[in-house]
Amino acid sequence: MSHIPTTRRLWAIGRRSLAWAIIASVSVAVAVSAQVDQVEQEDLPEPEMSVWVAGAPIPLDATEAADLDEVEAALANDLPGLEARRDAAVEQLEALVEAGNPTPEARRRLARLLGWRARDYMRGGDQFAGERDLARAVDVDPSFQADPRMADGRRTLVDLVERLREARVGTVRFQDLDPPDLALRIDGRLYPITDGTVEVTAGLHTFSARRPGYTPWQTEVEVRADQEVDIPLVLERSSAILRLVTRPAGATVWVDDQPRGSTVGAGDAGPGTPSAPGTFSIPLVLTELPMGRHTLEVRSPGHRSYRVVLSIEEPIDYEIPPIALEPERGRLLLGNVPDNATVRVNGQALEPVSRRAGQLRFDLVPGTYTLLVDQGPERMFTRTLAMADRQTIEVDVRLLPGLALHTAVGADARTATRVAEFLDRVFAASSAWTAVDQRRSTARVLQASGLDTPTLRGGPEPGSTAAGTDWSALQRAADQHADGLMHILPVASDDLLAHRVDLLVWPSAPGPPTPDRIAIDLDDLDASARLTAAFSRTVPTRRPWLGVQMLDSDAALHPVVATVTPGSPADSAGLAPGDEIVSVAQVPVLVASAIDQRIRVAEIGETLRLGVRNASGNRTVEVQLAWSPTIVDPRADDFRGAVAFANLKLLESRVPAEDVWTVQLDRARLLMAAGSWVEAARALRAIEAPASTIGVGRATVDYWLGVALMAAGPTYRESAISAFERAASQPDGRLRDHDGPWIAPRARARLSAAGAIER
Amino acid sequence: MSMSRMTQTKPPRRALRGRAVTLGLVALLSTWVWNEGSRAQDPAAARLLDEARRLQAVDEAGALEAYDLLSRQFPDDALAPKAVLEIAELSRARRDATATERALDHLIERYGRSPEAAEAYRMKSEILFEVARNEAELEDARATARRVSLLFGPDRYPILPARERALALSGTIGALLGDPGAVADFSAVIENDPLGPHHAEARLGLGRSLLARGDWQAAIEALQGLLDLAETTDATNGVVPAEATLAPARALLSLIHRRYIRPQTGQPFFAQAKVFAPALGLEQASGVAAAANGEVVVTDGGQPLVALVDATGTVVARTATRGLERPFWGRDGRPAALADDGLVRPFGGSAIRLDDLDKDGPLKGLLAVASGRIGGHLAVAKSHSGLLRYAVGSWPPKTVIEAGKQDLVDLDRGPEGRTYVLDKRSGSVRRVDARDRVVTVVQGTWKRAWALAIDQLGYFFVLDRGEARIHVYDAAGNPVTTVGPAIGSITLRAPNDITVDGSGRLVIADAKLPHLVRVE
Repeated sequence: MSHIPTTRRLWAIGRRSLAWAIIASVSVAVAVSAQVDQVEQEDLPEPEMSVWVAGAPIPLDATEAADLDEVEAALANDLPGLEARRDAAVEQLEALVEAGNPTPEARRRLARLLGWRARDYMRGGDQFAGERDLARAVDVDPSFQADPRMADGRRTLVDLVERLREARVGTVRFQDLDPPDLALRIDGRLYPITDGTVEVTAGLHTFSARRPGYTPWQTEVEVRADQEVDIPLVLERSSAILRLVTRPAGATVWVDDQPRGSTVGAGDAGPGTPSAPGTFSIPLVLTELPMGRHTLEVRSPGHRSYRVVLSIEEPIDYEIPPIALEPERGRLLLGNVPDNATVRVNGQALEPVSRRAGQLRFDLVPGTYTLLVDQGPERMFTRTLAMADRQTIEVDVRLLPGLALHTAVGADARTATRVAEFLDRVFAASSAWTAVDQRRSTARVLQASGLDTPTLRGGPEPGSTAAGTDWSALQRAADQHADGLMHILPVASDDLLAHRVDLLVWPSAPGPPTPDRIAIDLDDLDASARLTAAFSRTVPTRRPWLGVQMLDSDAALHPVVATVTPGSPADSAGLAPGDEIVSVAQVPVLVASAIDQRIRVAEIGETLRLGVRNASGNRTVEVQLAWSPTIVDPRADDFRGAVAFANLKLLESRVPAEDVWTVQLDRARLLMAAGSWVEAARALRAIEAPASTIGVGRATVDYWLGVALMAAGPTYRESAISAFERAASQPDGRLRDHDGPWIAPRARARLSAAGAIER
Repeated sequence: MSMSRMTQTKPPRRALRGRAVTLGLVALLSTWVWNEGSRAQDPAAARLLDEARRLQAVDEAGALEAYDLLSRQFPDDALAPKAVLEIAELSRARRDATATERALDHLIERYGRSPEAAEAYRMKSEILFEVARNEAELEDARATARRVSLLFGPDRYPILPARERALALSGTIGALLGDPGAVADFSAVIENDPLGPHHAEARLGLGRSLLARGDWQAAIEALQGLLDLAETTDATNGVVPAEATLAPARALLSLIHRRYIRPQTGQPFFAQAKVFAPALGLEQASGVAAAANGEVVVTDGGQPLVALVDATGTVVARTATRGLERPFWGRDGRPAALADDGLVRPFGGSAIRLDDLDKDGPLKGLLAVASGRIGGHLAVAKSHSGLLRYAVGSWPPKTVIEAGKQDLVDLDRGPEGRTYVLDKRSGSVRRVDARDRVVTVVQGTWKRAWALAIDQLGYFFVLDRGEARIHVYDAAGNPVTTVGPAIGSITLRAPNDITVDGSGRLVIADAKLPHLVRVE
């Protein structure tokens, strides 16, 4: 019999075995080596051998144990009023013992509690009950010894226990105990062996012992009270065993491609409960390992498998160094990421493992990820990735204005899927927008905002589109839960057999909350192109400018110059009222619109040859087109409010400084078109337009400011009148562009309608 | 709805007016009733609406019944207001004023915040406008039209055709009332919905109103924009303007060209004279009147003849009626002419009767008649040397210019509802504005002033038979030029009547020429 503790011996065996008898592939060998280093650093605790035995008793719950400790301590200190708690504790432990598989601790506790109760009974004069409890204590725990405090200064109770033990308890002495860490059971109950002996109640008992790698042993022995019995206990070695621990717990162990069990954790609640992160499992013992070479593999989801070949050469205990499974990892390399951009993976901000020259590296476990890189809603990038172990994915990040895609409303599952796929396809190919899938994050929010599907679908009348929905609230809710310069909410047709879907599109605040409605038919082959076109509109800020007003007259064959703007290209070229424009770039013209269309497609600075006729005869005039600021007319230009607003927001930082005011005015006009009068007025007030008295400029802004204020309500009437008065005072002010509609007459009419000037 | 029918529907009209006062209140009260967000749509209601629309083409009564059933069985359904609106429109088409009014009232009271209620207000204003007899009633119609904008703003309904249509109507009424605010109404239509169905109508109205205010440059932009729209739009990218708006716009632009622009280039006011409609074979032309589109009606005192000539000079219709003279164009777009004992509609149209002030029977000795600004007629007659205004459904006619002190021989309607009369005795042209204020705009030295014509810019033309010459004055009464007796190769011998078409061309009827003369 060896006096080396079993586990140490095994450890020593394990160490020795590292010289190995194990053949491993090169790559695995490297992994194993690394793990061994880690294990040594972490000072692996010795595993508990008791868990080897099947059917191990369940230890007392920590809370229960603490409670029992408290009761015992109180009884020992003779505190009053403990009868109820004492009896309850006795009852609880009795139930545990009667259940058949109590821990030795539970038996010892029960015996002690019975001892304290016996003391109380005997103090109270109930000798019979006291003796009964003491007899029971000895039966439950034959090694029970009365605490001197139970004697209460007299030896009566101590002596009584001694007498009971002499009458009821015998001793079994195990000779040649081998292996010393075997598990002994008496009558099926687990007993710890102290100094090679155990005390048992007198009678016939079944003794059994087992230990992995050994043949189980069992015998029946008659034990007499107050006598010692010697029993030789030497188990016969039957096979080799292998002990191993894993990190994390829960790994499946395969030997020769057959599953042989799983490691379990040893959390706070005891064996079998999840381990704390980063700790190893309790040991798993593999038995019945035949001699020879075996393949051992440890698998755990999300981790790379550990695989070694081992050679079992003799029937001894083997122990493998702690196996720390390496998590599966893929590598994500993001290129062109600006320094202050945020990277989110599945909605969670993620710090890179490394950052070098705009390239960020992330290590990700295998799985599907939604990547989002952004610098605010104007610069976003998203991609869905499927990462595999050891895979490297390189992504070139291109930040574009973001679109928040929301879940389809009023659609059945099939249509909703089709819509989502359609939008994914369209915007994945877009070089202008990044569509960010917000379906999961906002579905519940939008539902809670009181959207009514029939209302959202609207009727055939265009005007009914907005009725019945609080778009401002919807905008707020969407902005709060989803990033993006614009939001897209698909609304399916009520004809669920068809695939007609309206896309409600609105910008994030402070854009107008009323959405655009873009109708698409999923079965239409051109739907993608149309949608792309709808989102690809550019906003012009300048247009070629000639500086004439033309009219078509029955009294002339060709368009007639009605007015010439002073200082304009036409003025410089000598065009005058009454001139007929016969041709433009040698192409005859019969109507004024043909000239306008030709100018619209010309380049700024281009020289046009005009054929001109008047009472003096024919001549050719060369005129170099200048440029005029141009203001969009949201409806006439069919300029989608939401898309346009978003475009304008982006455009403001890109256009030359002198064009910024036109972009701002465009945006205000879009707010007006959406009926957001106060917001529009606020935006208009902030515009610093050029003070030029001819063409578009300050008067243009003043006119629209007047319109917005007048529509905003009576509160703003006086301000509106002031704005109209300023606009009316500029006789050459124009709307839209330098050749556009005159402002002054309209402003005067507005003043008249407001009662500000006499009719 | 024709004029004659309008007279018959006077009693319901009064009821409409009475209710119009309370429409705003009703609409406000009904907002709590109508909540679009809670509307359900019953498939049965949808089927019923479908059936009603199918029936509408073949069985109006059946369609009405189906719409009525829908509105009664499914009053809370989304389709209910549509059904009620259909009832109103169908009833209006069937000239059932009572049913129309009932349906419109129901729509406004029960579904006051629905887009269909906006249509109801708009229809009410149209009906009120059609039957209006005076300025107060016009104002009433306009107030109802404006209610659409007040109750159904773009914040709630970004696009609402009823709103823009009502605004256009408000502008039209405003223009009739001589209100500069009409420009604001028309501008708002254009600014709010530049692609809408009322854009063209609003542009034309805006152009006219701006012209009336003297803003002819701005008017050019409005009118030319309309022509450009026709050139650049098609059915796929917008509403194509109707010829009914294009022709007047083209005419007005031509007029501006002739009056304002061409003179700036040093060209004469009139560049040429042409023999016009020689195929008429006139024996003794007694009168001529041009419509805005250049169409001309001519009467002949030497033979039984009244003829219609299009703008190219082609005779498109003639009737053999003797003794007619001084034709004019009625509000229904058909000509009328003076006969010895009243007015004749030689090419159809409802009869027009102007009774004598003092005795039973028609006013005799008519010298000139013109359609009134708000329906009715203006007349001068030998038997009553003043200017009389006959309003629809009202008696007696109003004497705008007292008889006795003058000898009025002709009259014509100018822009903005102004009336011009020619006083032979004092040798003057007098202008009566929309509020019946009379101003002498020119004092001439004519030998025998006989006929008067006004163009849409307020230029007026006085025919002096004594000199066989036409005197031209601008809107302020400044002489511009004279025409005749020799105009190019044509010599006027006995000019009897003159007229100016919409594009400013002067047409002369000469009793001794077999054709008309058109000067441009």
